[in-house]
This record gives sequence, C-alpha cells and structure tokens, in this order.
Amino acid sequence: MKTMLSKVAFILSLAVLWETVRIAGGYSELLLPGLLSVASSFWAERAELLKNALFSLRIIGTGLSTAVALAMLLTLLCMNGRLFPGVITDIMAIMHPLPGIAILPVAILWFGIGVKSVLFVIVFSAVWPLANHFYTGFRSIPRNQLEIGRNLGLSGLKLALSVMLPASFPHILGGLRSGWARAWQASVAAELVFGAAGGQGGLGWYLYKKRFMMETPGVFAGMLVIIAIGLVVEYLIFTTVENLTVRKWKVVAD
Amino acid sequence: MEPLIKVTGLTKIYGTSGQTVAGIKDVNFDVMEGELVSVIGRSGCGKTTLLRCIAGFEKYDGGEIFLDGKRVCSPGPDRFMVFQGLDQLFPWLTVRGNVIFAMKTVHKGMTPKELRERAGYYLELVGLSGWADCYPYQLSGGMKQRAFLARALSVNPRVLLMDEPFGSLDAFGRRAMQELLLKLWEKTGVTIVFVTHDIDECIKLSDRILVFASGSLKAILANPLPRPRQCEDAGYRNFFAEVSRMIGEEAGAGEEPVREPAVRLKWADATLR
Repeated sequence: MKTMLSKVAFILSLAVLWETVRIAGGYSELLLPGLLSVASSFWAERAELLKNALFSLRIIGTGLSTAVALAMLLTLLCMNGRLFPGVITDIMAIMHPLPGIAILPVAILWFGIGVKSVLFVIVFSAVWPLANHFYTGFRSIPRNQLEIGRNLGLSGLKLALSVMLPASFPHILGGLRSGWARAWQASVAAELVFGAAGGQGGLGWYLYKKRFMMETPGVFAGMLVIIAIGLVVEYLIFTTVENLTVRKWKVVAD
Repeated sequence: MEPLIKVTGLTKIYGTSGQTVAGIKDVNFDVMEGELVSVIGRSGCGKTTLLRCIAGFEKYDGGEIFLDGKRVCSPGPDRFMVFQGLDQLFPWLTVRGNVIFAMKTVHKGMTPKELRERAGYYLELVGLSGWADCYPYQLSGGMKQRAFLARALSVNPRVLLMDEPFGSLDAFGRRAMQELLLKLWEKTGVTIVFVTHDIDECIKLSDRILVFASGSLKAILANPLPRPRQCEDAGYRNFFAEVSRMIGEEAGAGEEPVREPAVRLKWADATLR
C-alpha cells in the first residue's frame, strides 16, 4: 500500500513538473502539449488507440513466441553438440550488438513493406538477448541438480524440460523481460520508419500518423499508452510470475 | 554368494595427450549385498572418482564394474548418489515434492495417492514429517541431508553411493546423521558405499574399509569391532591406529596424484577397447 502511494505521488509530481515547465517556458502546444489536451486527445481517439494497441500486442506476441522457440532451439543445440557452442556463441556475439532496426532495410527487400517485415525485425531483435539469457541460465545450473536428474534416469528432452528449465528459471525470466522490451522497441521503431501497409498498424504507426499531421497531443497520448502497457506487463505479469516462482523458491535475492 | 558389486582392474586416467594423470589404477574389490563399505583416503586419492565410476557419471579407461552381473556404463536409479554439497534438492519443489519427483521418475505408474503416502513414509523415516511442505531454502544443513536420504531411499536403489555426505555438518550434526544412517541401513538392508576422509566415521559405520592412496586400493580392512561402536571400546584405538597407518604411509607422496608415463595410457587403451 505504502509503495503504491509513493508511486502515485511520484507520477503526480512528474505531471506537476510537466505543467510547470510548459507554462513557465511558454511552449507552443505543437512542441509540448498540456496534459489536458493529451488527455482529451486520448479520450477522443480511444477506439483507434485500442485497435492499434491490440494490433501491436498481437504482432509482438507472435514475434516474441517465435523468438522464444528459436532461442530455446539454439540453446539446446549449444548444450548438446560439440561444434555448435562455438559457432552459435560467435553468431550471438556478432548479432547481439546489431540493433534490430538496422536489419529493416534488408527485411523490406526480402519481405516487402508490411507485417512480415515488422515480424522479422521483432524476431531478430528479441532472439539474441533471449538465447543469451537461456544459455547463461543453462550453464549456471548446479552440477549436483543436473546429476541427480541423470541419476534418476532422465536425459535429453526430458531432462531439459523437467530439470534444466526450472533450474534456470531466473535467467529465463530475465531473458523474457529483455526480449519483451526489445520486441516493443523493434515494433514501434519499424512502424515509425516505414509506416504500415493497408491501413493496418500498431502504436508505432499511430505515432507516425500523428507526427505527420502535427497532432502533437496525439503523439504523447500514443507514447503514454506504450508506457502504460509496459507498466502493466511488468507489474501484473512479470512481477506476479516472479513472486510465484523464483521469489517463492528464494533462488534470487529479494 | 555372488557379490552385488564387482570391480575388476578399474582404471581411470585424467589428462590430455602427453601428460596423463592416473585418477585410479587397477582397482579390484567386491561388495556383498547389504554390506556397508567405506572408502577412505587423502583428498585427491581417487575415492570420489571411484564412486562416480560406479554411479556411471565417469567413463573409465580400463577394467570393469558389474552390478548384479551386469556391466555398468551409464547413470541409473539402481545406484543412487548422495553428493557432497547442500544444493542437491530442486529448489522449485517442496521437500515432499522432491521425493515425489524422484519416485515418479523412477517408478512409473504410481497413483498420486500412492506417491504421497510413500513420500510421507520416507520423510517420517528420516524425521522430516513436519517439514514436508517446506521449500529447500527453509531447511538447515542437517535437514537437507535427511531429505537427500529420504529421496535416495524412496527410489529403492540396489546401492546407495555416498560421497563425503556429512562433511559440511558440525560434529553434533554429523554424529546424529551417522546414527540415522545406521538405523536406515538396518531397517532397509540397502547396500552402501560410503566415501569419507574421517577415520572415526568409517570405523563407526562400516563393515569393511577400502583404503585408497595415490589412486590405488592399498588395503581392504575388515572391521573387527562389534556394533554399536564407541571410541572407548576395547580394540578401537588399535584399529584406528591400523587404518591411520595404512593411510599415513603415503604421507611422503602428499596430496599430489601420481603422474604416470604416457605409455600407461596406451597400455590401458589396448587392454580395454
């Protein structure tokens, strides 16, 4: 309750700061809109915003789950082969620092302008941090736990699912967190750069349109929706999962 | 009577080409069903390697290990390990959950009710009934040891392999665990191979003592003392001195494992493959 109150107080003081700066500086609505006009723009366009947000979430969901599956596959190959670990860690070292958006020109050439390109960029952005976290997690499993699993007669996929996965769960959760953030960044960035095809798009596309029309309050409303979704996922999903798993097992520091 | 475990000419070499280090060389012994055998020696003498070979975690370079006449080549629940270290329970399962996971994996087809009852039985056996629903982080070192034993016994192994299991406990905890182990051994009749570097521990627990030094089996001593054994018993000091002398004779060699010439590796390869 106390933490909740302090969070609300923090957000309120941010809002006060915003309005003070705007009024004191005498900025135009085009540069820094007032909170009221942002709010009224949000209310007026709520259906549109909701549609775009759902579109973004759907495409991120698809991209992120594809990336998770790919990262798992890469990690399992790394764990089981002799050749793979070297090759795959080299590829990860090369690809990880490359921003997902930098692959967009190639994606447009290969897949054209549209959902497929955005998906490709999302998968590309999320898969490397995911694989990196998964691989670190799998390698940091206590040897005793792995050997107890083998002693019970488990091996291969069964060992991976029933022992390695839960044993590396703190790292897996960390990977999902950064994969999710990367996926958002990629989807918004991709749509901002080239818009969307066929009148369908996500929140990035919304920001793009509003900027194009110089409707600055709408741009801010779109950004606030992105922030709000980020907060909801962080506090409702990730924190809940964390409380039910790694914090309950005390395998991470509080 | 056929021995339960038969180890013949067991050799395990560590190291890369050129420089080789013998983990253990040409080890021969038998363990009878229901026996409690200790393996003692200085650190680096190969006693843990021997245990890991029997468990199937290490590939060996020479000789053979048989359990019930069948050659051992991979890990299996018929030889269950209790490792060193306190991180052997799965932290995402409760104590009961850990025992049930083990039984469920090994004995397929038990109903949830049966699993729960059996787990409860083994937890009661080790005195952990009140802690069944705790997570591993809530247990003390001694309780974790009890949980390892409950899980190990629950899969009903032919032999229990224990690698300096009580090394991390204080003197009181260790004595309590030794008494518990003897009680469980008498109750279940399970065969135990117990690695330790504590002479008192191996004398109190075991029927026979395998003395290791520098990777070879130096002596097999039959324990002449009747159970239960106390330090004040007649003959205890003499036997202690004998075991100690067998281990101590190698004192000059120190903690260093023996370095073998590369020829040895070739010989071992030729014999075994």
